[in-house]
Amino acid sequence: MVIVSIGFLGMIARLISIQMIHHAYYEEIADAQHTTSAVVEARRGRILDRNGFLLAGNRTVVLFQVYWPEVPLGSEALVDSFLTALGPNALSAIPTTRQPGNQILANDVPVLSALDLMESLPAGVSFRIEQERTYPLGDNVAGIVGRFGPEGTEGLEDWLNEVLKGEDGELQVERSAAGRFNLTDPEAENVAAVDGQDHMLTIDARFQCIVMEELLEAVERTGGDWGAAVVLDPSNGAVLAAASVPVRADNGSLALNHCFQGYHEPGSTFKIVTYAACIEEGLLEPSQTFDCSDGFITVAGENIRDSHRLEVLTADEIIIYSSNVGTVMLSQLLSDSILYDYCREFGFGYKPIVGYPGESRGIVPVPGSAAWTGVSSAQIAIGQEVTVTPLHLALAFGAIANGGELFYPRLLAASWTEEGWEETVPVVRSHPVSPATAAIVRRTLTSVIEEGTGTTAAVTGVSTAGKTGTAERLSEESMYLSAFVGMVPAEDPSLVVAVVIDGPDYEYRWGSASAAPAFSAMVERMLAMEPELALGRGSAAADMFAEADE
Amino acid sequence: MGGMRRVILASIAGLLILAVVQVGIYNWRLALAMRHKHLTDELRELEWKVDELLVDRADLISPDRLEDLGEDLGLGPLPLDRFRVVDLDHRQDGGAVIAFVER
Repeated sequence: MVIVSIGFLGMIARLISIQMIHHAYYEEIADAQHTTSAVVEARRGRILDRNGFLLAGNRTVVLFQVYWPEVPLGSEALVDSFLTALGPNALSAIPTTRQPGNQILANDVPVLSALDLMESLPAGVSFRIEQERTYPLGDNVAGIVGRFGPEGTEGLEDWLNEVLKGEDGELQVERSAAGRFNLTDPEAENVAAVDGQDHMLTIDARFQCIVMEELLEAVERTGGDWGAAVVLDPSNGAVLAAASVPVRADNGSLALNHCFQGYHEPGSTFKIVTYAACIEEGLLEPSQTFDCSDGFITVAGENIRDSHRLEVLTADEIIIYSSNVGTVMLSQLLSDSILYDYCREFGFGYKPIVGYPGESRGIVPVPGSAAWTGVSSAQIAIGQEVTVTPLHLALAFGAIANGGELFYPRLLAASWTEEGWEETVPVVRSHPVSPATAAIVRRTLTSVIEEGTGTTAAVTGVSTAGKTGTAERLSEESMYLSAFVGMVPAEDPSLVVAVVIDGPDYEYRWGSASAAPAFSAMVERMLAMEPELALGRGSAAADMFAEADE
Repeated sequence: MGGMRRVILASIAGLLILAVVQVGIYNWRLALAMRHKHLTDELRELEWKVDELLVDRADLISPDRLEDLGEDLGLGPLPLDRFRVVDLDHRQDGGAVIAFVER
């Protein structure tokens, strides 16, 4: 009796010790045995165009696999049945054959169609849910949006990765006796996943598709090595389209986006800098003429020639007929430092977007530096010895289009927050010229289209202004680069488009032969889609259309 | 002796009540956990559905697809020279008429 009583007392003491004194310790052991934490993957933020069209989205897919050592002998038929249920998603032939290890049965199965299968798995079969990035427009926007995947992150997906990726959460899950995870503990310290932030770009998917299509056709027709085209809203620096072909390198990876990566000499499109600088500095008299009849001019022992013989020209005719000789004469009215300053004021030599992966700042030699020679000023004036990107050109012409304001370009229109879409604000970088100077330059550029080198850029029914450019390259691979930068409508531009084609065949080397017709085709199709753009930025009719859209 | 017996019985009754309450609380937590899991699964499936629908929508209204459809239906973009501004109203509130002009 005493022994039994002592035994009971001992049991009670032990119970008190376990339940009350050391309960926290034993609770911890129990939790470790049947509770675990599961990562809740945050959904990656979406990327949309300015109209809300999905450029980069998410798909959740399931991968099914079988670990054959866990499949009971004689149960192979169950795996076959499962494969049959997978339908066209199945990767393996039926009947299956037992293998020593793991075998993938199906991947990329849309999760919503896999839910039933996930709940009725035969022994040895398991699944893994994966998030997959999807790009509905494919290669049309790959050069801008980039990619996010196992092979790497590029483009905007890389630039915005920190805000797109979100933060994974954590769920405390209780494991059942069978060893499956099937219950969450709502009272535990669960951490909710924070999905990535959605972003809206300034890109217009419709324009992007049009520009890509026309650019590809132009590059193929002219035998070019690559081509690039930028469409800009000059009123605020918004990039409406940025196309670059080829999209992919030979190994399938994304190629350079030549709109803002890499660089090239701008050729005669750069002459507007020299011309605008002379006007802004008040160095030109209305009746002043320049004798270009020799066809060449010698600077520091080097001859700079015109492509065809011209006569005595006025300042605007120098631009209309794209005379190298005349432009060098204009540059000689400017000091080296003033010409350099205007190059910088027009945004050349800076990284335009400031932060986009791999963007190029281009090169503008500094007066007095080792790169500056006695002929540098003359060469820069005609668009040689200076390197730019098509985006640089579009922004500079944008300043001419909007009356003298050089904007920072914008690719991001807005980001989604809890309070709604938070829009980015246009920012002016510099004021290279006055509105009066810009208007004079626009009139001259209009004459380029009407009677000069840019007649092939004319757009039916809309006044057009622009400048052709042909740069002679020293590379063996590409002898010439053809360029055209234009704006419509000429009086009050709502669109600026820069087109560059590198390495066209000899007969297409001139800007008027390859880049200018491509510009015309692009603009015609974009204006057909949004006719109000043909009315200009500030017209009452354009406002009326905008109000009707709202 | 009788008092001791009452104490023991009361203790046992108390323990039993506590045990019943404990079981009840546990079951309530279990029900909450199952409800939580059910709602979490439902939310997750709806999010997946939203993602799929957005991708499907993008495929359906893809500019290339719409352009092809439009051309098949004879509704391709019209050439610009068939549009004319035929009247620009000079009233203070502005205004214009954009007309489609047949050749």
